[in-house]
Amino acid sequence: MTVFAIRRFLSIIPTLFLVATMVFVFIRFAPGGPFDTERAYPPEVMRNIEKQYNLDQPVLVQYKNWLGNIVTKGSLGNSTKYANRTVEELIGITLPVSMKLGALGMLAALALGIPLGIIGAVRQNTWKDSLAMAAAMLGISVPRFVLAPLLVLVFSLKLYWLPVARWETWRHAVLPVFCAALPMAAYIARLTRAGMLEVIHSDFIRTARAKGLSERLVILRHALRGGMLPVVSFVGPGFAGLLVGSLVIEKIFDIPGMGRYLVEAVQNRDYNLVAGVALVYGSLLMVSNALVDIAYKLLDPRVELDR
Amino acid sequence: MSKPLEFEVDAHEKGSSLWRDAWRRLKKNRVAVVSAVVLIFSLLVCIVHPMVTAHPYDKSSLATGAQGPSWQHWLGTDDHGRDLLSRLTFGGRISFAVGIIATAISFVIGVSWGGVAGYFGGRVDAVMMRIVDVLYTFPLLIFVILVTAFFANENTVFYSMFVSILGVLYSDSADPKYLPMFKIFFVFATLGAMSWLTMARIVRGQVIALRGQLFVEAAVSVGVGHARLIFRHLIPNALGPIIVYTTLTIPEVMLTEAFLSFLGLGTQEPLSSWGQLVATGSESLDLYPWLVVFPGLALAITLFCFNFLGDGLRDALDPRVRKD
Amino acid sequence: MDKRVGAISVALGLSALSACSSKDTSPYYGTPSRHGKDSHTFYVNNGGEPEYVDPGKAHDTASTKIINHLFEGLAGYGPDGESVPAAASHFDRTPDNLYFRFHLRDDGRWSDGKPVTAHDFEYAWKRIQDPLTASLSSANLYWIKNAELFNQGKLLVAQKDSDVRDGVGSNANVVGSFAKGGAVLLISRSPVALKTEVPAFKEVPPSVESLLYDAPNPKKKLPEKLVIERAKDKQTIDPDAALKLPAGDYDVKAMLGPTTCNGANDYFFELVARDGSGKSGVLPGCMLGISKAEGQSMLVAKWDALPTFDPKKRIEPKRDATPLGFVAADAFASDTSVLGVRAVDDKTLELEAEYPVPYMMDVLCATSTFPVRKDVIEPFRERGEPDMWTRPGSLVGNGPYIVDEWRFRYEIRMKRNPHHRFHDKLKIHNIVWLAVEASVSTMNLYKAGEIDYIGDNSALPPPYLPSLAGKKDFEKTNYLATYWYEINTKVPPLDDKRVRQALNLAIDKPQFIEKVTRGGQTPATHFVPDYTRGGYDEAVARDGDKDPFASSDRKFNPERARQLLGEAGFPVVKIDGGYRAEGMPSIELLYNTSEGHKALAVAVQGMWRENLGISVSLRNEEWHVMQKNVRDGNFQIVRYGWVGEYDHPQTFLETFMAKSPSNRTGWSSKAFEDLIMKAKTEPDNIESMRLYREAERIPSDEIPKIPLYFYTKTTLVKPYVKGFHFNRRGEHLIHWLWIDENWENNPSDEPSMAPGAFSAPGAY
Repeated sequence: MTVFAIRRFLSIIPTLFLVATMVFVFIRFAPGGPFDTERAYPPEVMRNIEKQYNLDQPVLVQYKNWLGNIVTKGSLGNSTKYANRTVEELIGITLPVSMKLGALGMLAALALGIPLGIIGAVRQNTWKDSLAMAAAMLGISVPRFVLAPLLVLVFSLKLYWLPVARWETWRHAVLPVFCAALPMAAYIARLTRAGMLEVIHSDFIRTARAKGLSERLVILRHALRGGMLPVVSFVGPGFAGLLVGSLVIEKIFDIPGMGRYLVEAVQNRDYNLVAGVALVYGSLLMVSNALVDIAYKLLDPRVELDR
Repeated sequence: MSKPLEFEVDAHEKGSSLWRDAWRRLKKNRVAVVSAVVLIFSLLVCIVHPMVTAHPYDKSSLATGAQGPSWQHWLGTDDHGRDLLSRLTFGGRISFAVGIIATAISFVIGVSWGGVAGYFGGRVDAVMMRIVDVLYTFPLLIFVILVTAFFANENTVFYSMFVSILGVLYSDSADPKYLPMFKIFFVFATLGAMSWLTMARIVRGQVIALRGQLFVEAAVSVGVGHARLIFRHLIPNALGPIIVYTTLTIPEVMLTEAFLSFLGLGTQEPLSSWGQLVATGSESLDLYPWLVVFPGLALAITLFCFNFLGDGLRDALDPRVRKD
Repeated sequence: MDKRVGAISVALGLSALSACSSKDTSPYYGTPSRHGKDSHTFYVNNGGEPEYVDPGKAHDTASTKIINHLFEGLAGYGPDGESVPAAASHFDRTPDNLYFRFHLRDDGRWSDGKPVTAHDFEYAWKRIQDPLTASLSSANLYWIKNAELFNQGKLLVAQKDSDVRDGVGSNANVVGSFAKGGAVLLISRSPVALKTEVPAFKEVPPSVESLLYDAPNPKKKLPEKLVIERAKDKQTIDPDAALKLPAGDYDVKAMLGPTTCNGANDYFFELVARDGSGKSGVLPGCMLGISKAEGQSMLVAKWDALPTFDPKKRIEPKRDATPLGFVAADAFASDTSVLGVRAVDDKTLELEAEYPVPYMMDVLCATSTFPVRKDVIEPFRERGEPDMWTRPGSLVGNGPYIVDEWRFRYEIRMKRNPHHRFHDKLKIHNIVWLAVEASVSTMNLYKAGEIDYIGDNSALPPPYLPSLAGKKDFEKTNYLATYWYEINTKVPPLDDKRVRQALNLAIDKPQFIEKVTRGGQTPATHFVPDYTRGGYDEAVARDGDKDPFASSDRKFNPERARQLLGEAGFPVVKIDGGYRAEGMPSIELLYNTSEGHKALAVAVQGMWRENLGISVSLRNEEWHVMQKNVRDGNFQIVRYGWVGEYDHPQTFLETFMAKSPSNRTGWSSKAFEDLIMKAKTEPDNIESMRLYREAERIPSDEIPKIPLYFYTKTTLVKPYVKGFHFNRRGEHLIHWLWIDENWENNPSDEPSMAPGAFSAPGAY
């Protein structure tokens, strides 16, 4: 098991490397460059700027420099848009905020979604099931950028219960986390229910019941484990989706997170920042996927993951 | 000799009666049937209404501005005086197309990929899933922006081909809608290209879980070939979560399209889609609520229906479900 | 069952929404309560995170706003946006506005206590022009004598005594010598490179009027294009197809005569292949590329026009200087001594201008003219980290505020600069700048009382404007900016001015202002806003009824528009439901991604279809892609606007000059440029304005750009904020503001302290 875990984590490195390289190269193919502003600047000046950022070198040389910087100095380069900041600084400031938002969101989603899913599976086709699934449906159908202004309108501007925006106290976190969590919770509820239903009618559950175990034990210990499989496979990409979806939430609630860079850095052609964000984003994703694989193995002993 | 043949014939019959049973069960599920009817009905409306309406979806009338629902405009008008109902039905065409086509792409690729990977395991699995990992880690938004900036503009060969094909079908070859329509295809393509990855993972997971079961061993011992085993035996048994996930993909795709429209990367003016209408409307939520409510309802109801339908399909297809 | 649940949730949702849109009847937008916040701290939104807080490099408004509080220049914006004394106390000038002497005040101090000196200004201005600084704001200071050529790397100074030869290479004859310290104008480097095979001329083509050159674009497979028009009959002259120069390095043999290429001064050169093949030909300089070969020489001319700082001894540059000869490239370098600015002593700064600058004191309010400290910046430069000096720990500024805390992309907190003369007079002791970009979030924060002012850099979303117009905290003013569509006049059918005029006359500007932009903007028939100062608004008042730009034939006239289109060869016929312009190809309108631009573009698209029967497609691109496409000429009509950099018509009309980087139309007019030159140099203001107005008629007639409207600005500011005069420059420095806790009883709106004014300038 530990061997498997170690190998799984190690295998992240080459993939990460490949992805970072792909991003590094592709972004430079996009038309336009980081210094296109409303005025056209004198060619001398442009030449000097490009020299300062190594943009006049062929792509391969730039790539070598970038890699070299990472390995020797642990630095991801300078941002072209915010000239007095390094990329690792920008990421270092904003990543913890996004992680916090993402983690809280994921926890809230699990806390909301799993119980809903269990209810749905156990009380299949009763009104409780329908209510739970309808609630889930609502969560899926309303986009975050509609939900957020709506909640702000009701809870902040009309009722004055919660702040409008920004990220200071726990009260500031309520609405953003809820908006982040709701669609996830809906998916999780549905997946839990579906997964559990798969299992709940199977032979080995019947056996467990026949053995005389209490219904609760049967559900929570045995059925749930089987039901968690699809949820577990979802958590990895779900967390990544949260990071992307947080773009909307960060924009609306003015939260200083990393989500904004995903789009802006590309639009600004801030090459180093794009590469850095892709690297971080990729690592987070892959680590969570690796953890998912391990959790998978733990949950379902029937699964044989070769070698 | 004859024994495997008999067995195969039996399997065949079992297979087809499986589907027929499913169909029968589905028909009995009233909610699913109603959902299907609603979906087909909305699709028809979206196809027919823009052709017969008195208010073309892109006819703006600045003098009117944004008005609430009235006899003239049943759902009201938007900021440019365009009839919301027309924009809604025209947008429905695009939203349905996005949802269905992108999901179909993701279904086909994802199921095949995941099924093969999960079945063979070992190195094949490792390589295939590594590819999925790599593609997965490539951020969607960067991908979309780059593809759009690079391909979805008029200077490409594709665009000229597109225009010449359409020029054959329509007389007005310099239609301002051409570029936005061209860009929509890239939206389909990129959305489809991003969605199959999770499908593959889920399918793989299911196939792995089923692989060790008795019926698989039985089939192998009889000499059933790999492809048949994957696609006729394993996958149908894993269909439950697959179907559920597919029906979850359609709303996900439609919502991703809305998200892209929010960022200005999805459906462009003067075309509309439900996602684009919701995104634009949410900016003046407290001023002109009808601009969000109606498209939002249309989106929500459609998604509800797809989900109910998916549930119904799952219940109908799963041979081991007993309603006790 | 499920359907019932669905229906209930929908009903709940609807009722929630209807509860939301109930009318808001309070006189202010949101609450005028500050929730007990300290009344010496001001909360405002900056609209985004600053990119460069370096006065010499900043060009985005989030940066310049911050710089305007951490630094101050010779002059500054007063409460009404006028120019008031800041670091300078008074100044002298010559009547022709070519020479200025600024006297700094004695009590100017940096945030580390050191006094502000004229050397800080000299260093700052020279630093911007140094090509190695790579500042994108260098063009803002091109009024300094020799700045433009210096910034382009064309003015060099001999670092040692040099031989002058008549040819390239050390075996050419020495024809003279050049003393160390002398200045030269770089005519061409040698060798030069040709990237691809190029047809050349055998000799200089006669009577060339204009030369247009487009470099080849390998990505798009566009070949290069050289168009030379002959003066008398506009015939194009083609190079000799038989004389093809292969790619490679070429030595410059001689300079054969001046010309202009793409609007800029240029020369024809005789080239000889370096590889000894003897191939030679004549080509203009704009076609030549940089060669990396060794043994670089330069063909130079003596440059006598160095600054003297004495009006009686002014040396004007000779346009067509005779080349001296060839010199070794490594003997020459950029030297800022050629620039027309110097610090005479610690408190006196002298400026010799390249051309008359009647609006000098206004220009000096701009952040690119602010001083910086050499001893702070140089160590970072030497370490190879030139931009790191602006980090909060190392930044030194001379403004009324300093950075207290900087949370990236979230907020910047400022407190008073203890060494600044305003320290005891400022009523706002702390400023908190938010970095919110989404306008709806800004509105919400304002409504909830979290910020006191929407901010100079945030705009109110147009759909909200009608409902805000009645609120007491809503403010509106004219803004010194014009919104226009630039037309690519090289692309048919837009090369025909009748087509352009038709497009202009077919737009109902008052209507889209009422329905789309909704800010009460002024529809524009010309390019310089009527309220522009510097004497322009007075000239408009003088014209009164005879104002040429207010005449009805410049206003919305669809009939005349159709007629013009017909004259241009696209007759407009009536079809049911509207019109159709026969034979008129589809036109594309390009704009950068933004709700506002889209709304207007959709409206204009509709108007052109309705009134002219032409088909218009809309293309929106994100900013960088659009910039590139515009520079490559991939557009037909593109949306731009121009914010006046100083309160004078010159800033708007400059964008129609042939070599202005803000002229993307390819249109130019010699008559226009002559009039502008006369207007600039005319000492009598009334006559100068008359000439400017006359010049303005030319682009207003030929419509290389379609003027749409003169901007207005709208904003929300809380009633307890005093000293806030919403002004047309959009500049409201926090030093003039204060928070009045007794605002309900006190109607006065005086600024926190008297801004002062410049006394009449003395004689230079």
